[in-house]
Amino acid sequence: MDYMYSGDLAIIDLESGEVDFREFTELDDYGPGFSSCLAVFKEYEESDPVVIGSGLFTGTTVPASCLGFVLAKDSDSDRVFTVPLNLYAGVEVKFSGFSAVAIIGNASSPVYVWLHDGVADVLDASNFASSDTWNTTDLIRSEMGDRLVQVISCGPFDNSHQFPKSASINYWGSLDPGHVAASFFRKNLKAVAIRGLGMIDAADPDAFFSSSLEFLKRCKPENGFALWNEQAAKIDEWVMPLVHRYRSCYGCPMACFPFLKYREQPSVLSSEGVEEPGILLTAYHALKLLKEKGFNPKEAMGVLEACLKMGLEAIALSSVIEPDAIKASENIVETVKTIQKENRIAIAPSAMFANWYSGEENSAFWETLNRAAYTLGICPIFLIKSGIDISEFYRLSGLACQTDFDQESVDASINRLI
Amino acid sequence: MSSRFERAARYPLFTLYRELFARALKDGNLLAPGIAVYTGSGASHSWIWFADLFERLCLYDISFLSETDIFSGALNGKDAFFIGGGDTLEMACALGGKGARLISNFVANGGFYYGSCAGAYLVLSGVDDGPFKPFNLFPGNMLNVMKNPPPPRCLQHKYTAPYGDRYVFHPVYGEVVIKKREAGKVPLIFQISNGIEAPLFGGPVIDSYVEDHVIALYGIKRTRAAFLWEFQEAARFLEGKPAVCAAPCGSGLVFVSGPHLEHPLYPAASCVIAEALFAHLNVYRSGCFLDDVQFPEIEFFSGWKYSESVFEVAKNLHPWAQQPSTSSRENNLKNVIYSLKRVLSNARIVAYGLEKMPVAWKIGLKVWEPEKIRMLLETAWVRVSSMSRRLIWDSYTERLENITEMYSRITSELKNLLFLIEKGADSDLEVRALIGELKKVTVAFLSLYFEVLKNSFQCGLPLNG
Ligand code: SF4
Repeated sequence: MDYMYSGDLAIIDLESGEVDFREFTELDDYGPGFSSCLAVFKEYEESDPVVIGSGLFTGTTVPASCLGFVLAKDSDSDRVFTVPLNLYAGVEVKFSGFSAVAIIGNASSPVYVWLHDGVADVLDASNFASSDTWNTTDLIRSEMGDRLVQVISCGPFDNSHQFPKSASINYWGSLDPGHVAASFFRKNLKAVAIRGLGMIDAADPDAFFSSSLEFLKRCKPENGFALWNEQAAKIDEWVMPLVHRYRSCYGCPMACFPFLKYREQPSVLSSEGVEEPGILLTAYHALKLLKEKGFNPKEAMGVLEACLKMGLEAIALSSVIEPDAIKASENIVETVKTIQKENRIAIAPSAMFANWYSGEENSAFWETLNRAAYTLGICPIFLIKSGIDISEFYRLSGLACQTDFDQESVDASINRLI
Repeated sequence: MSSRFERAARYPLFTLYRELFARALKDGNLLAPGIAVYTGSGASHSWIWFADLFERLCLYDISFLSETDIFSGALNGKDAFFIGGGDTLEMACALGGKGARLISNFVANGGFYYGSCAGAYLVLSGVDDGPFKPFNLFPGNMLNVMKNPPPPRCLQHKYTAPYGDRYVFHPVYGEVVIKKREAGKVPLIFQISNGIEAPLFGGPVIDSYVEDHVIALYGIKRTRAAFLWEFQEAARFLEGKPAVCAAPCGSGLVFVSGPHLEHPLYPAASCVIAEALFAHLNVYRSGCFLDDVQFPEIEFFSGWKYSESVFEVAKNLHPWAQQPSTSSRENNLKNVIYSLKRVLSNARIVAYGLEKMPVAWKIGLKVWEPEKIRMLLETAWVRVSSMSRRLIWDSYTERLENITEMYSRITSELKNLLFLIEKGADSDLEVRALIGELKKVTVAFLSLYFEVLKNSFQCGLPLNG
């Protein structure tokens, strides 16, 4: 594909430490985004691949074109599982100088992968393998000298594998129920850091630009998890007193994610200098459990922050923690660590795509929506909420890459592979 | 989305000059000049724009010279010498009387001198305070100087520079228009347009002692410029004053410009330089533009379009050659290039990080913002891939490895700088050292790059672009 992607497919073998590059012909054979990366995943299936990719429009002027993704093995079924890279991570994948990246094999000691401008480095992570995700992010960003480096990481390497872990995007949650983190642990892969200053070409840049801006004009901005569903709207209300601001992903006119300050006055815009004033909520499901168990919002934030730092899957942790444990705790992180050690929980059964909208894992609606979302690189929530029919987004593909895609052709490609 | 630079490089009239110089390089009937660019003390980052200009013009015999190189005779045998922006005082002090004499001799013996911004101030005969005295190649002065300039509306740090008991001042900073002068020799570009844009970043408003030496006049427009004076005031001061001038000097030509005609995003402005250089070297030797010259074989214009024959000539000049086959030596070179790419990418990522800091440094009289550091890095970055396609000789390996090592040190220095800034510590000394190193490695890279271009072209590989 001559447009919308730049660079090769990188195949990073952690076992040998070698990096190979080849033309990403799957783009032409299977189409952009999810299906071409799924083809790569299938090709390297035996080597336990982690495939990182982005959609056709990711990182462009199309609204909510923030979406990249990580494909990893579902730990239960060995089938493929997809975790969204939203916020700003997907965009960096697009500009990393690679059309897609496959990480195969297992390293003999902890490593991290540094993807930048068409260069892929496998670097030693031994000295921070036991760090939490926040420190890992800080360390890598400081090493690379740029706070915009996007870090997908997992918590401390501690050999305790009976509790679901979850990969983080920088400091925040990634909607990984455990499969990506489990792959990272198997591979001795502490993190993947991405930064790219590349560019992409559209076939008809002017028409593409003006059409995508037309979409933006038609959207009505909204805030909070209420965008997702009614249950989530209740969580919005519950945490409202702690909300400092709402954050959106790249290019999105909506702003789903509340930043909650519970160590500083949330109503004051400027910072009072507290180093870690609060957290960005990127999902509501664990909070719902904690609320039902009688946690107050501040306590719930403490639990979630500990999960984020330790790279623990928050829904699993929320299902086993009780308010008394937190009330009696002097150090929530330590308490959470202990609870994690004392409980054996399996990763929740998953369909092909992480579900963050309805909670119904196997909904056919969600699957079809996600096939489109990960092909186009547009957030599925936005696809629902924008009021714009998906077929209209598909129609932009001709301007973008001189090939017209629609749901039928995308489904046909994916069905060839699964 | 193609970069603005790529689009600029395809500017039609510019491609015509490119073909002319390519022709010179190819068949040797016309002179493909040996060019020197000043990168020594006082030069800011803007000299990298000359690299863009020459590459686009298929001029590959380029030397990047410090004052020390000039003292050791590096201008001998060169046909043209270019000085861009920077700190004029530091340049004058570094080059001194000896440098001034060598440059004068170079021009007197037929050389082409182009000075923009600081490079123009330097050679105005009326700018003769202290260290400037020996540099008097162009009969003229600067008009933008006064004892008490009024306070600026913005960009205080860019507004003035002391000059004796007066101040050189800049009422506009950014894009201006350079307009056709009604009489005298007129560059071809003004047959297309009466006014073309060019960036003015502190260059002189010229007081030419000889009217005939004036080539283009200043005009201003409201967009893409910061007005340090009210628009009307700035217009009153600048409109119709000389912006670009050229004067014969011995057998040579001295060409001075307030705006940076060489800026890569202003190809129409760059056409003026291209034409003057080509005409001086191949037509008059002491004349200037092509407007009254009939070329025997090439018809330049048919209205707004080129004649078919020009394109035919161009097409036939450079048949694409086959790339040589891969061998282990080439794999080795590939690895070396990959390492260079790695360190360059790391360096520019830190440089982007620096750009988010609210910081700027004053080195001498010149203000350095972090983006200038990145621009120097970009100069190499944007060329690495095309160089790798042309590297068919492993004799370059060692030089490439040295350059890689230098960029690797630059990355460490950049990280240290970032650390100091985050701590709120003073970083002036570090940045001075860093910029010095960065200039050196950029010169090393570009010298190698142009050598590769020249050699690969002579071996039959296609032209760049
Ligand atoms: S709708 Fe929400 S989750 Fe989706 S891109 Fe926008 S802010 Fe992000």
